[in-house]
Amino acid sequence: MIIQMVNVDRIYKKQNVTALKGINLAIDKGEFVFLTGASGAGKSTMIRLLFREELATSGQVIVAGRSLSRLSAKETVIFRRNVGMVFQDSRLLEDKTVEENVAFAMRVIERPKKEIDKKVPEILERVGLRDRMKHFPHQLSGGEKQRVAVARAIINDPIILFADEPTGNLDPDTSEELMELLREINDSGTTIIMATHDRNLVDTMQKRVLVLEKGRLISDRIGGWSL
Amino acid sequence: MKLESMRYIVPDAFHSLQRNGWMSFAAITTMAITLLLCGVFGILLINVNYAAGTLESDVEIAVFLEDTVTGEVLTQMETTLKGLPGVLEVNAITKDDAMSFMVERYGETLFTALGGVNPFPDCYSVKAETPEQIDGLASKIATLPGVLKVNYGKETVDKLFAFTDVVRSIGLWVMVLLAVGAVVLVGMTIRLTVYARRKEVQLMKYVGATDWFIRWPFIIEGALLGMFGAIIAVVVLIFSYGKVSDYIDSAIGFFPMAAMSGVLPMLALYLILGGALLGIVGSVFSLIRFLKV
Ligand SMILES: Nc1ncnc2c1ncn2[C@@H]1O[C@H](COP(=O)(O)OP(=O)(O)O)[C@@H](O)[C@H]1O
Ligand SMILES: [Mg+2]
Repeated sequence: MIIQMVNVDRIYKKQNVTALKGINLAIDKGEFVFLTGASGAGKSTMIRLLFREELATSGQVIVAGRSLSRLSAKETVIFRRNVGMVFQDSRLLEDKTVEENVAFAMRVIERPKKEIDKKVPEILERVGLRDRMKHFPHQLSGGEKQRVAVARAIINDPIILFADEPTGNLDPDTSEELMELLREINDSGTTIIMATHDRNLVDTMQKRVLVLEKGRLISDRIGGWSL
Repeated sequence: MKLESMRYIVPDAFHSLQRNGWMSFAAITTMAITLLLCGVFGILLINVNYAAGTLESDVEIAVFLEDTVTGEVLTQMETTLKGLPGVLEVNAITKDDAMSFMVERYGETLFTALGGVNPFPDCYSVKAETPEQIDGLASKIATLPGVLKVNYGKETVDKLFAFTDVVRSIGLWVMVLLAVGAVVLVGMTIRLTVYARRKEVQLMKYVGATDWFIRWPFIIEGALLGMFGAIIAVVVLIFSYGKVSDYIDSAIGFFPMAAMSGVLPMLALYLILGGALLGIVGSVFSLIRFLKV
């Protein structure tokens, strides 16, 4: 078990919004899990809790045996190095090339230059963008940008990859391609948690599906979208 | 922070300075003015101390006599001075000696300008045995009949110190105000950089960069702003010190100025370190507010 949530609530006190309520779940190492639900159901909030961008208002979020609310600043840094994150907007740095954007993730945690020079081309090969290394983000299509974002997220070999609507801005064919890439990454052992409201993707992948509705977990089963 | 990361951080910092052009310019200028003032005060104090050292160890008292003191009384004066306890040596400098010294220094035109009249009084140069005796000896000589006034190094030094005390207390406040201004401007410049790089900072946090790794580039940028200001101040000082020292030399010839080569390297070092420190303080201030240190 790599992720466990026990009686998790997340309340935005100021706005008086209960984004998540009484969440209990367990995810095993190597799983591919879809997090679905209507807009505003709490998908992004759940990912933020798992990524420790926010803390639960009550309950426990346990990742790799550690309660995230108990991590010190130093431990949080270590935790972040062991998980990856992909957003709907790829959040690439516009003034850096594809190569530099991917290297960025290694550089800022001070990996040796030798290792960076070796690994960046390898990972770009893996996401099919080897020939785009010197391009800038504005020269790429939406799908290509997301591949770069994925490359950046996995370059430090995370044990878990979080993705919040990574196909949200992509057309169906491009989405399929990105899903293929994520499937490959999952096959190589990385646990993937992906928030999406793309019904077709969920149906074709036939993986575990968690359904949120108004902050509550209303379904947890393997297979397609439908209840 | 590994040294290797400097390969990226330093060029990034220069890039930021460019991007925030006007703001950087304002910060650097204020910094330069602040440090220039510090430098001027530094030089002033060094020179006053230097002059004090030179003048204080001077054992000579210049005794100026009233014009009425002539002939018999004049020779008696010399005997009186020689007889005072602690006096090592007495030399007479007559009106004529004084005039020819000045003419030698400033040319015959001086004599003409004075209308052919010699304005200098007769004068004795009295040497004391030790510098400690100077004060007592001088006040004793001053009370002798026929003595117009006495001049001696330590007195000049005391006046100098009184002057520098005033300058120092005014200057200190001006410098503090300017330094605060410089720190605030550096802080504002760094805030712009943090804002311009907020996406990058967020990403760094996401991929697990340490807080210090994130802060360093901003601190270095602040230090650079300070050091650039300091370099401008140092360059201005180097160019002006020689000129000012020449001027003082010709205007008040007796005032000893410390040599530039002895003063400036140390001062430059202090100014650059001081600039870097002020810059760092400025960036740390803005980081506290904007990066949740
Ligand atoms: N930072 C926040 N402050 C206040 N309310 C928020 C915040 N983030 C999300 N919410 C609210 O929490 C609920 C869940 O949002 P979110 O997790 O973004 O849903 P989803 O990703 O499923 O669309 C929504 O009602 C949203 O308005
Ligand atoms: Mg969302």
